[in-house]
Amino acid sequence: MDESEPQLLKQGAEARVYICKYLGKQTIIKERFQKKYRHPDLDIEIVKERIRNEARSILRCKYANIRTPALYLVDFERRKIYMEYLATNITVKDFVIKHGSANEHFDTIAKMIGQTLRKLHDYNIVHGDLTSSNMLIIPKVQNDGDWFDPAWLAKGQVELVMIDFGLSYIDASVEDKGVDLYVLERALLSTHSNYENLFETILEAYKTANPKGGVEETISKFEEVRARGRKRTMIG
Amino acid sequence: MVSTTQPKYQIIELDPDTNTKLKLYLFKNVQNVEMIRDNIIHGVWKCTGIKPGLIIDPFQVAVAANKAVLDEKRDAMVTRSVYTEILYNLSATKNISQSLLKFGIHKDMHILFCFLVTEDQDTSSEIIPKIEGEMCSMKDLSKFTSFEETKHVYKLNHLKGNERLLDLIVSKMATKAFVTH
Ligand SMILES: Nc1ncnc2c1ncn2[C@@H]1O[C@H](COP(=O)(O)OP(=O)(O)O)[C@@H](O)[C@H]1O
Ligand SMILES: [Mg+2]
Repeated sequence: MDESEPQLLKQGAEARVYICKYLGKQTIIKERFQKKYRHPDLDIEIVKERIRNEARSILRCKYANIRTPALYLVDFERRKIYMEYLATNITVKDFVIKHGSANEHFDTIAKMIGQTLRKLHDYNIVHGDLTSSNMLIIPKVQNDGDWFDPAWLAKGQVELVMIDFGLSYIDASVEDKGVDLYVLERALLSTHSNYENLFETILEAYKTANPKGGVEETISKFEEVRARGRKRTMIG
Repeated sequence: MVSTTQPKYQIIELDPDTNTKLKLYLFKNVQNVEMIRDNIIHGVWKCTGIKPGLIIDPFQVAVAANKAVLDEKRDAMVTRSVYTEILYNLSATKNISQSLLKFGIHKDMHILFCFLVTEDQDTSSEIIPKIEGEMCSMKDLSKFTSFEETKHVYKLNHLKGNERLLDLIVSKMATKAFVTH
């Protein structure tokens, strides 16, 4: 296999994710392709905005001590971001599906997620697309393989990586943060309907993560949004 | 068996569209810095001289050089030549003169040389023999790095430890066109 030829890893609705050897390293290339239904000029503007948001928030997370991939090149002309490939990873989604809540480390993961989201929001970053596939669990020290051993969790040898920041924004309001949490709750309910306590555990960790407090307003906004959502589902 | 002239340079392939490779040489105790600097500044020597004190990993230079050759190809450089563009790209700020001053060489004894090598051009073979200094292995780069100074230059003084330093530096470099650092 020629490593310098891009290998398609994921095809999404807005982007293709490739792995490729670049500058001597295994690299993720995320390309935002053209959407035919959009006017070309508008399409370019939207894509630029997404790329800018993604790169900016990935960097800002690093200041907040949240692990994100390192950025190698942001190329607006090619509509691509080149970033660090975290070869040894499992998405939270796959972890939950594979290991389920029977896994003794289920709570550990949920708590890590809650704490990370709290750091994110305390740094005024709203992710905009919180799902369990936009969170990766990786060993603190990357190894050569691309397999993931759940035993690492017991030893505290893992960290949570946040990705996919195209819809994110900075300087978010409490309302935005509340919506962010609600988006996650909905996503988890639909992807992991059999694990109802997953979101509750995350939310609990989110509330208690920062002893300085200051989260009540966000939580009440979240509850407001959730109540509105419930009403809508009942009507619709 | 005696190994004679073992090559000590490092080569990193840049963006495939540019057909260019980055070739790095590290020298210590250089005696003819003034002559080297003159030749580089006046564009007689096609290469960049970098202060190794601010480089924590060759990859840092690769990220800067890669953007430089891409922008040269696209006619989108900020500075006058691809060699100064590498210095500019190494910096996290948009201040051109400050960037060149900080990362370029002046009276430095130790120098990291970067060459941009293509199919039909490799200027290193003419220039390297003219350096009056001791060629070092790239593995020795860390001996020249000042983490304190590097963190200061990249405004990362608060960072605890150095494990995430390269990540932060290259990410800052990659975003400086649209993020104010
Ligand atoms: N830096 C990375 N390292 C390893 N895998 C990644 C990385 N970035 C993305 N992926 C994988 O690619 C998938 C899609 O990437 P993502 O940025 O979420 O794009 P999309 O917008 O299409 O969802 C992720 O769920 C993950 O499995
Ligand atoms: Mg995604």
